[in-house]
Amino acid sequence: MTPLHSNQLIHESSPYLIQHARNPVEWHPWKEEVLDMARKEDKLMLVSIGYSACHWCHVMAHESFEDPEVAGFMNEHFVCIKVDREERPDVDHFFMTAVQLMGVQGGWPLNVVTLPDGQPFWGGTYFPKDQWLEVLIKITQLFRQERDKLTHHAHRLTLGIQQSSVITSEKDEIPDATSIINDALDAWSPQWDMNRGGSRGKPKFPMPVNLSFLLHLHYHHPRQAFEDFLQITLSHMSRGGIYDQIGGGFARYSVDEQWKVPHFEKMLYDNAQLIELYSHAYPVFRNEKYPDMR
Amino acid sequence: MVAGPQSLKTIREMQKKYRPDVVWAPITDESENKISLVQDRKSGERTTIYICSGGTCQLPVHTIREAEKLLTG
Repeated sequence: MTPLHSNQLIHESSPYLIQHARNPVEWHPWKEEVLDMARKEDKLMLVSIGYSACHWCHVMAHESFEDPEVAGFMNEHFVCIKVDREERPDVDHFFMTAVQLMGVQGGWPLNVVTLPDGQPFWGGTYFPKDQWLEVLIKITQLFRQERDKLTHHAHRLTLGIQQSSVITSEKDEIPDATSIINDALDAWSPQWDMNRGGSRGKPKFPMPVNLSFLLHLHYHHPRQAFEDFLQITLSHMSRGGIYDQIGGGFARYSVDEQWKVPHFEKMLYDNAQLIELYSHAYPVFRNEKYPDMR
Repeated sequence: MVAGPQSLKTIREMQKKYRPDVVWAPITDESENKISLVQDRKSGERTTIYICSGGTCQLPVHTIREAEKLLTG
């Protein structure tokens, strides 16, 4: 590899893909001709999905994708594809569904291996270098020695993905809204941390959709427990390190259970919803800190 | 829906309360012809508030206090 080495991503416009353009891994963008290439060369495809603000995507890139040994193995045995989920949410959604059907915890970076025809059969998120190499070696052995089994497994997964995208109602009658709301509360409220807010344990995510739902429910059916949980959560979050006390905005989550240590990236979709949540909660609770939460 | 030159100001005032089930829409000269619910409701000189639900509107009122009554009533 010369210092000026670049792969196919150098021609792309996505900042995330360009960040990987100098990797020794021969990344390709998600394109029809690349999928054809895997089929023709009868090679496994490795689809690696992330986005530019994703912390662990960069850690994995630095540890594994910039490493000549790992890159050499990946190039020899796989057609490697990088996907920016902000550019291709459809591709991301397809592979995330696949990984969830495999019973694996989803997240980013999302790394999926498919057969040469594009059917996924293995997936995972971040791996340290040694584990990543070990996984890839095992997969290539399986592909060589037990290809029939892999094909069968991949076929069943593909069927599962197709079925999961068809929304079917098991019953004809419209479900009762009250029982849906009560079921949701029964499942969620035992996890409430009434001392620090949010869900018990760590990491702590702000979960604006859940809190907005509770605020709305409290408007129609006021309960002291709803008010307490909302106020505890909103005020602890506003005082914690998850909120950037200097620059403004909320980090994606806090790594501890006190909202203290923020995890780096600030997501626009979280912050947009949190501004709405605090704006709606202000006239209800009149906490003078809420209008500053932006 | 709120018509009249003070419509935006009135909406901002009404939005100071949390009302998750209400969507506010100002009626302006431009919107008059576009939204079917407000087709015959002109944006006059006076602030006029229409509280609508399920595709029908109640009789218009002209003050925030009257509108509040309709919303809570």
